[in-house]
Amino acid sequence: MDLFHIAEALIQEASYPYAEVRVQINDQEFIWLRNGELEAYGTGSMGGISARVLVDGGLGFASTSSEKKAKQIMELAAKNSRAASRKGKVSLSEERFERAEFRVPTVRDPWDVPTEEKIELLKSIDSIAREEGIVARSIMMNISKEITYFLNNEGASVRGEIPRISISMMLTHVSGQNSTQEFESKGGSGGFEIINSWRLEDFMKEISKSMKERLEKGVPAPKGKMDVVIGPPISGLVAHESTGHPYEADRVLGREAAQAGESFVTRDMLGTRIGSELVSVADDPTIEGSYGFYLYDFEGVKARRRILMKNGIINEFLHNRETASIFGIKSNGAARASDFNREPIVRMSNTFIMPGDSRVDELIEDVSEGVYIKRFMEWNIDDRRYNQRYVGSEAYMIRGGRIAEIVLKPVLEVTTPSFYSSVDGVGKDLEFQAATCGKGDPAQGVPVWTGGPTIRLRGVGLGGI
Amino acid sequence: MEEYDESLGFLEDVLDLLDKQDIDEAAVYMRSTRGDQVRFSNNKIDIANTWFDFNLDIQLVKDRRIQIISVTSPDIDATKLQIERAMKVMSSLPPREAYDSLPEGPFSYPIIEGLYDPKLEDPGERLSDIVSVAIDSGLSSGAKKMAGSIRSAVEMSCTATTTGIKVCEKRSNVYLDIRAFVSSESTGHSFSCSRMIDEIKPEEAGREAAEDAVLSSRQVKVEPGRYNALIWYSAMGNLGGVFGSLASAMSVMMQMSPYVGKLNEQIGSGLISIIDDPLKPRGYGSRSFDMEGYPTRRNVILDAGFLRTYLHNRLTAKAMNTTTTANAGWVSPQPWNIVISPGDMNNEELVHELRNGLIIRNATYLRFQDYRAGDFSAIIRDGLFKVEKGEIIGSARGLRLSDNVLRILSNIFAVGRDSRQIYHWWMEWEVPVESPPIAVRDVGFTSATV
Repeated sequence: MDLFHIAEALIQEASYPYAEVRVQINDQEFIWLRNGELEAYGTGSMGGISARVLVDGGLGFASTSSEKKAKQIMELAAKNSRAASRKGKVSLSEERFERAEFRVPTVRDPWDVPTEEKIELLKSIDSIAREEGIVARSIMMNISKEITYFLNNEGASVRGEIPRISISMMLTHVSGQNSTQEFESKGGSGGFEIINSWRLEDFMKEISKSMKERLEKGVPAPKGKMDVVIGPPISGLVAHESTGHPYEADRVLGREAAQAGESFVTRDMLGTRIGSELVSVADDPTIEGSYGFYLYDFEGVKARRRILMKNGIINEFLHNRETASIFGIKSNGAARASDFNREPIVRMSNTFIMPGDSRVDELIEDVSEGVYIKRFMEWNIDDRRYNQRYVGSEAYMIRGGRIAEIVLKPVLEVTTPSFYSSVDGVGKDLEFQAATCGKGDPAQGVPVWTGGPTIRLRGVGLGGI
Repeated sequence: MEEYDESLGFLEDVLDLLDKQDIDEAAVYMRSTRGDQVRFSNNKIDIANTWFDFNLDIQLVKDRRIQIISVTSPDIDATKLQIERAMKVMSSLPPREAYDSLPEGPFSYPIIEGLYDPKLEDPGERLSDIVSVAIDSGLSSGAKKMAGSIRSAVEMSCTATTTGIKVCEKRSNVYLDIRAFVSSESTGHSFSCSRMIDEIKPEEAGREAAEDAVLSSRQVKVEPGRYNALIWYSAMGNLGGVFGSLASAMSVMMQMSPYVGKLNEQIGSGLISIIDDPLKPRGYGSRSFDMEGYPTRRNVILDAGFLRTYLHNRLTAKAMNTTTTANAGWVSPQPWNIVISPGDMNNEELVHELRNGLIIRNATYLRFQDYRAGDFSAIIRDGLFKVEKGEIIGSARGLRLSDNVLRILSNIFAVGRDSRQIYHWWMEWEVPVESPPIAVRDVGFTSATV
C-alpha cells in the first residue's frame, strides 16, 4: 500500500476527537555554478507522511518516511497528544471543509527540460558578470515539485501539486582592499517558461556595472535626518519582516516566543493606525505564478488574500486554526508546513506593499537632499519586529531632485511605526523577490514572495557607526 | 535496535546496487533518526512531536562528473529509480577540472566516548517532565511566563563508499532551549545541551533565564557607540559558529569569508584559539568520520590569533592544492564541533576586568553586509547589561551589535576559564560550540535613529 492509501486508511480508522494526515513529497533538482563551472548538481525525492491528533487539549504530531512505519504514526501522535495535554490547552477553530484538487499548470514542465539546457542558461547569465570582471560569482537554480495530500476527520480532502523554480545569485567584486557583494533571488510557481519574465541577463549587466562603479567612485554615506527613497527589494523585505511577521497570530499570542520571538503588535491594536494612509500591505497565496502560491493551506482551509494593513491601519492577522480558535474567528488559511515531518504553523505566502501611482522619477524629483537606497545586503530585525536595519549596497545621493554621487553602505535603522508613518510616496513599480522564510522549531523554510514598489520616506535618519 | 539493523541491511543493498552501475566510484551517507520534542509557551505545552526520519545521500562519480542523489524513503526500489534517473543525466554534466578520488578504505576510526544515550531511543514522557521542571523553576525565580522547547534525537549515521569504506556511528543529543519573560521586553535566555538526557539541567536553566529576565527589567539608558563588551554564552554560541564556519574552504573560494588570503597571518588577539575538535568526548558535534569516510581529526583554525588552516573536503583540498581536513560536507566543508580555548579568568573576574562596559547575553539574527570584509550586525536580546566599576547596574534596550569579525577577533582582551557546551535555536550556522565568555574592546553598538 502506498502512502496515499495508507493516509486514507488512517483517517478512516481514527477515533480521536480531531485527527489529520498529510502526505507530502518534494521532488527536487539543484544546479550550482561557481564562477561559471558546475560546482554541484543533485536531485532528490523527499517525502513521507505525518499525523496530528488533538486529545483533551493536547496536540501531538508524528511522522515517518517509511511505508512500513506509516501505520503507527496516528497512534504515536495520539500518545504525544496525551503527553502534551498535561500542560496543554489547544483548540481548533470550526471550519467548513471541502474535497478539492489543485494543480499549477505548466507550459514547459521543468522536469522535461534537458539538464544541459539548464546549465547553459546559468552559464549565459554568469558570462555577463564574468565579462564585466566580477571576481566571484555563484548562481544556483532550484527546481521542485511539491505534492500534498491532506485529510482530516472533519471532511477535508485536498490534493495539490505545485512546481516551483528559483534562481539565486551571490556576487562579490573586489578592488584593492575593498569589496562589495550583492544577492538576488527570483522564483515562482509554474513551468520553465516563467524564467523569461525575470530578465536575469539585464539584471546581471546592471548589477555588475553598479558593483564596479561603487568601488571606483563611491563615497561614504551621510548620516542624520533626511529623506530616503528605497527600492522594491527593500520595501518588499520590510513588508515581510515588519508587517508579515508581527501580524502572524501565533507570534502575537506568544507561541514562537522562545524562537523567532513575539510581536510588538497586540490583539487590541487591530483597527489602530500604524502608518501613513498611503500604505497597504497584503499577503496573498492565490497569486498565480507566485513563489508562495497555494489554494488550500496545510490544514485544508481554503486560501484567500489577507489585507494585513489597510491605508495605514492594522487590519487583519494571519491565522491557522489554533490561533483563530483563540481569537474566536475562522482561520484565514495561513497554515503551512515545509515538509512532511513538520507541523503546520502560521506562515506568510506572498507579502507585499500594495503599489501606489507614482513613477520612480516623481518620487525622487521631490527630494531636495536625501539618499536613494536601491538595493541592500545586510538586514535584521528584533524579535518583536520593532527595530530594524537595512544597509544599502547600491545607493546614491539625491540632490535637487536628481540622482547624484554613489554612496557606500547607508544604514537605515528605524522602528516599524516610524518607517510606516514616514511614507509619503508610493511607486507603481511593484516587484517581487523570491525568498525562503524561516520560522518554527524545528526550523521550517517555506517559499515566499516579498514584494513592494519604490517608496519615499520623509525625515528618517541614516545612522551606523 | 531492529531499525538500525534494517538500516545496515539497506546500506548493503545500496552498495550492491552501486556495484552494478556504470560509474567510477560512489559514496553513500545514510542517517536513520528518531527525534522527539516538546514545545511550550505561555507556561503551557503547545505540541509534542516524534519523527522517524531516514535520509540517504549518494554521490555518484563518472569521468570526473559528480552527481548527488537524496532520498528519504527507506525503500530500495525508490533508491534504484533515483539512481537510474541520475545515470541518464550523467553524461550531460560537464566534468570537473579539479577532481580527487574518494579515499581508499578501510580506515581505523577513533572511538569517541559518550556520544550515545540509549535512554533517548524512546524518551516517553521524560521530555514533558523536564519541561514542567524548567517552567516551574523559571516561574518561582521571578518570571511571569516561560517558553521554549526540548528536542532529542538518536541517530545511526553511516558513510560507505565503493572504495572500501563502511563505517557507522550511533549518536544521541538533547537540548533544552528556554526563554523567560517578566514583560515583553524584559527577557532572559538559557539552555542545557548534552549527549545524555541525565545531564540536562532544567531547574538551573529555568532559573538562569528567569534571573536574567528580572535583571533585564532594570532599565538604564545607553547611547549608541563603542563599548568594551563581554560576550556571554548564548551569544558566543552564535558568534563561535560564525568564526568557525567562515574557515570553510568553500566560503573562502567563494570570497565569502574575511579569512580570504590570510592563512598563517595573525587575524586575532593572542588570547584567542579556535579549534574544530570532533574527537572531544561527549562533544555535542563530535563524530569519528566525515561524509567522505575520512577519520575526523582535531583541526586548529586559530592558534593564539594566527589563522592556521581552512576546513577542507577532498575537492576543496584539491582545488587549493592541499589535503583534506576531514570536514566533508560533499559540497561544502563544515566545522563539526567548535571549541574556543578557555583562558584563566572566572566569570566574576571577567566582569571585574570589564570594569565599565556591556554584557551581551544573546546575539541573534546575525547578517553580513559583506562576508569578505567581515562587516555584520546582530540583534541583541535576553539582556544587554551595563557594567560600571565591575558591577551590573541595569539593562539597556534597543541596541544592535554592529561590527566586523576581524575587529572583534583582534580586540579580544580577556577570555573566560569556565567553558560551556552551547547549542540553542538561534545558532543559525548549526555548529555546536564550546566556549567561555570573551571580553572584546570597543565593540560597536547602534540603534534606530527614529
